[in-house]
Amino acid sequence: MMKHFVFFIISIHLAFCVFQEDHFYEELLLKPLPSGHVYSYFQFTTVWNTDYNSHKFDHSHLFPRSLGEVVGRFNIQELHISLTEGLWRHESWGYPVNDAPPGAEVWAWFRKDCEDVDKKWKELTAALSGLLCASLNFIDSSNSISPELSFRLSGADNLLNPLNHTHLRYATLPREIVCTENLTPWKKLLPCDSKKGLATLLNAGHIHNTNYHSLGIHLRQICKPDSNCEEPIIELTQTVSLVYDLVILESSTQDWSVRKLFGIGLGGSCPLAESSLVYLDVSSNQTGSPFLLTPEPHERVVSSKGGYTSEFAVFDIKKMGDKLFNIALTHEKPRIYHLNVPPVIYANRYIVGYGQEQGGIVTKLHNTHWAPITVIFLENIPWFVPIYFHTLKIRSGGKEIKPILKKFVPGKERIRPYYLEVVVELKPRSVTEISIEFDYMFLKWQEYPPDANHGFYVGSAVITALLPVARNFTGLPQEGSLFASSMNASRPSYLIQLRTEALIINLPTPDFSMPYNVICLACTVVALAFGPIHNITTKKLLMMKINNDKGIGGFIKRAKFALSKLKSKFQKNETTEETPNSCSCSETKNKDD
Amino acid sequence: MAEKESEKLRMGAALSFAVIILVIGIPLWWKTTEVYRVPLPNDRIAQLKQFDYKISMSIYVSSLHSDSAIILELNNTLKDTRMFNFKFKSVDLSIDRTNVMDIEKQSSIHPTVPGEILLIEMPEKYMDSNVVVGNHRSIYFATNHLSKVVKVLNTWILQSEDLLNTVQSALTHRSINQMQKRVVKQESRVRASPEYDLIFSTISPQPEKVKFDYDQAAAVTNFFAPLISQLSPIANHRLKSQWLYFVELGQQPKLDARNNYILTHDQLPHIISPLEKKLGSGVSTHPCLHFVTYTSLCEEAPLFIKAKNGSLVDAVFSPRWGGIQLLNPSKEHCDGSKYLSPPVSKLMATFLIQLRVLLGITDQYNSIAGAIILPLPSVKLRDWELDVLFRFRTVEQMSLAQMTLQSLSQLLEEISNIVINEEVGASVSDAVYHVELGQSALHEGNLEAALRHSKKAYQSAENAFTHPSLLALLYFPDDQKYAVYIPLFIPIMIPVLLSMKSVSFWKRVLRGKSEKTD
Repeated sequence: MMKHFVFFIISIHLAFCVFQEDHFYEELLLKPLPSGHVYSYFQFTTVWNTDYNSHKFDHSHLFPRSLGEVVGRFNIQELHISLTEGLWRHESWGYPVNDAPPGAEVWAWFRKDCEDVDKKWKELTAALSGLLCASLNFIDSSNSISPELSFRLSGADNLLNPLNHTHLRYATLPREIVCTENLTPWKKLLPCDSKKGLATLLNAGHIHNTNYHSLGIHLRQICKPDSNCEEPIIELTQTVSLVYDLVILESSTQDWSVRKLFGIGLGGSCPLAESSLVYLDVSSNQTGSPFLLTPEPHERVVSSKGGYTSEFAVFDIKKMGDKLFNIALTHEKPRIYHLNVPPVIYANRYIVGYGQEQGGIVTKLHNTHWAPITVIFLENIPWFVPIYFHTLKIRSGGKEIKPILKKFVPGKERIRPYYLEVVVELKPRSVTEISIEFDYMFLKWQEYPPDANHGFYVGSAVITALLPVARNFTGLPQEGSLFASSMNASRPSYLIQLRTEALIINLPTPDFSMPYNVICLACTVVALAFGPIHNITTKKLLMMKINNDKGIGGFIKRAKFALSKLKSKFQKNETTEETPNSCSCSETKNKDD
Repeated sequence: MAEKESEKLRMGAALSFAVIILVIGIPLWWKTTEVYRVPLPNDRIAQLKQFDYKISMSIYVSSLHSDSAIILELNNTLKDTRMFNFKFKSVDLSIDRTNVMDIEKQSSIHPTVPGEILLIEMPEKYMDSNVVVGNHRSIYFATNHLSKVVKVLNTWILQSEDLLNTVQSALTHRSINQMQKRVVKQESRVRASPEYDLIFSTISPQPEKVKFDYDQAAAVTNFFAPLISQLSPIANHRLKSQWLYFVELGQQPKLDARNNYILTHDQLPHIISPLEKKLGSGVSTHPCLHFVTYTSLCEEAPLFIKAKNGSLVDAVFSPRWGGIQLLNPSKEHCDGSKYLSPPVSKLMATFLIQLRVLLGITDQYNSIAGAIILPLPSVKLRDWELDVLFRFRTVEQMSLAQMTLQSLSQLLEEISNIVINEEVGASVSDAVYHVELGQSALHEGNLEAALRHSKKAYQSAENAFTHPSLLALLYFPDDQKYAVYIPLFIPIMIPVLLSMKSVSFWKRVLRGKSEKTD
């Protein structure tokens, strides 16, 4: 608490622009994962001390104006976007600070006074797709759902008049490929761009050869510190999560450094930031093989929450000056990998069945905790994968379990997806299997993508749970804006949301020249049938006398006749021309002489 | 006899095939494979061309002695003015004609309807200049200087040459500078739009050194809000402001003898393009006008721009884009001992001048000997300047809408497989309707209504012309349609057409026989 207080005073003191009420913070968390990977999490937080409810977003300072324009125009209370490449492996990596599914995920809460949410949602995603150069414009009401249970406002809400799920829209685009063209506009939203501070580490060449990278934008309203929250203020968090595989980095040892990961050292903080901190998780120094840090951190923080203690080395970039420097971690002895202890809850998902008619989706939920845990399981199945609600089966240890609650909205072709939400209690130390069957269906020929044989993506399922212990938990508490707020933040329970794998389904794919072939073939068949019918009905077969002058015989005869006539004429000419002409010729010649 | 009957039957069958295929089949096929098109009012669009763009205008005259003599003289000199029809009316004003400023203050005297003008004759001894143009819709003139009034009307208030150029450039698709070099003012004007974003950006490339004490948002809103509300009938202007850091101009200035850093005139085009990348909004589809305050680098201060005439200036204007002003931090600002607090009134006044030029209202009128314009009392436009803007916008939007409609109807006539859905059809009819209404409003002299209609017409016409559904079937041309159906048509049409020959032969035989029996 004292630390927070001091922090607050410093931030006021450093406010460089007297009239501005927004503050910018940058943080980096580096965490060696038990599997040998390195997790780095950037968080850039802008807190704008202004009344969110009445804000028009016409004037901005540190808050990106382009994003503000979107938020103001579409009447948004809360917005979450993630663009991810790769899959977060919960089983071996634990939980990230922010979970994200492969591809693109957007969810937004519209304000209470927003009318026609669907139209606004369509316009919002179109605007966001322009802002982030992602194909978010393919999101509309035909692939969006309004989950009732899984998603809650993560920020402040009006308790007297709370928003309900009709103002929420959630959609994923599992096929979206995330690359430099998304990173560049994302970086443009930062006040220091990538010119200064921690964002200089985000070089496209180095962050796109990671196992997993995820860009995130999270906008919400929060309470003003030390107030009764009558006027909520604005908080924008921009995040980047990266998981490096040290083997890919061509490292013979398990030592790593900032320069090795990002290709560049740190060169000072963003001058607009109130704080610029790097947290390095050194908890494994006690349990695993010991390592050395260079340079010495400015501070070591021990955080214990939910029965688990972790230790962080904190580097304050503001104190480092503008010179390039490196943070390196070197092991004294070769690192030994311990047996990985999976986190409390994790999940796998796959497709079952064979043939081109019916299939099934199976999700396995693992609970490694000693007590039962209740989870909410959310499926967003596209309309072209029709699932059957009656085939929903939840089994654990060979026995069927009755879910606590089931919500299902059947999809409609081309209008809305299938929405399924199940609340189920996972037995202690068990694997629960949720399965549902679906049909393979044909689409209209224009609805197939250019490479139809690649298959169709079904987005990740979302599993929401409140964990009783904070093992492998790195997330921030709900009221916290900065990573610093997660230190010693013991709570009765810890909210996690896991995203499972996305699936690829091979729908029956037609031959795309088919429509043309069908028209041509049908026309030919009709024409073939028409000819004889027309002949039979309009013509009569008659016996005819063979007349030599008519038909082919007649033609040959006539031709023969004409030929012989020509021949005889030619011969005649030859005989008549021979003698007299030569005579006369010579005569004329003589005359000329 | 039986053979004759069967011959008749066969011929009947052949005929019925022909009838079914030619009379029912082909039209049915034609209809079902046809491109969907809503009928457009092409005649009415063609009719729009006839419009002469004559604007009716009321001029009130209040003289010392005889109104009618003045009206007669005005009528004779002004009747050849292009684009205008004048109605002269005399008014009785019981005012004390000794001081122009006193009359100017009495708001009840001045006409309130846009487009009207009041001419007030003053005794010569009370006038410093021969003609004084007020801030409302009144012109004061000294006795016997009516010819100067006519000149003032023509060059400052009516600007009929420029209006005509606007119409012609819109209707002939030629840019104004191709037509006449001298109308620079028209060229810098922004294109017509129902909404504009005015974006004020303060750029600080070295926030670690220079710290600001400047509330840009408040400064901008307080200064420009009255003007924006005055302009609201013309278009919706939205004021926006932002701060940008670590953005540089990207041009190396030269050091001159007096230790000033100089950007030359030919470096200016290279400044705007890098700035554009950061300034843009991304969401708004309306034209943006940018007003940039650039804080020069501490190492390159003071920074100036060398104008064409060699003088050093700290502000530049870019036609149709906006303006840039340079802010030079001093040593104290750079070492952080003092906050930089820019001269707000000077900054805003310069931006105001740039905004007026972008709107098409000059700040420096061509001088006329003996005539003056009263100085501006506030940030707002003078009433008659607003009227000038009204006329320009109306005429521009109307001619653009007319041109768009004509191009659209021509395009749709030429390319037959463009789909015209109900929405496009409705937009087109709406645009035509509003152009017609606007035209009659101009004839009647109702400038406000004309502006309103022209705005709607322009919007609808643009909406129709840029509607995405127009492109839907462009890539499936007619010849492909024929190619697909040829396997059906050729094998069917050949026997049917050939059978027509035998039918006609049979008919002739039949007629010959009946003639014989006769």
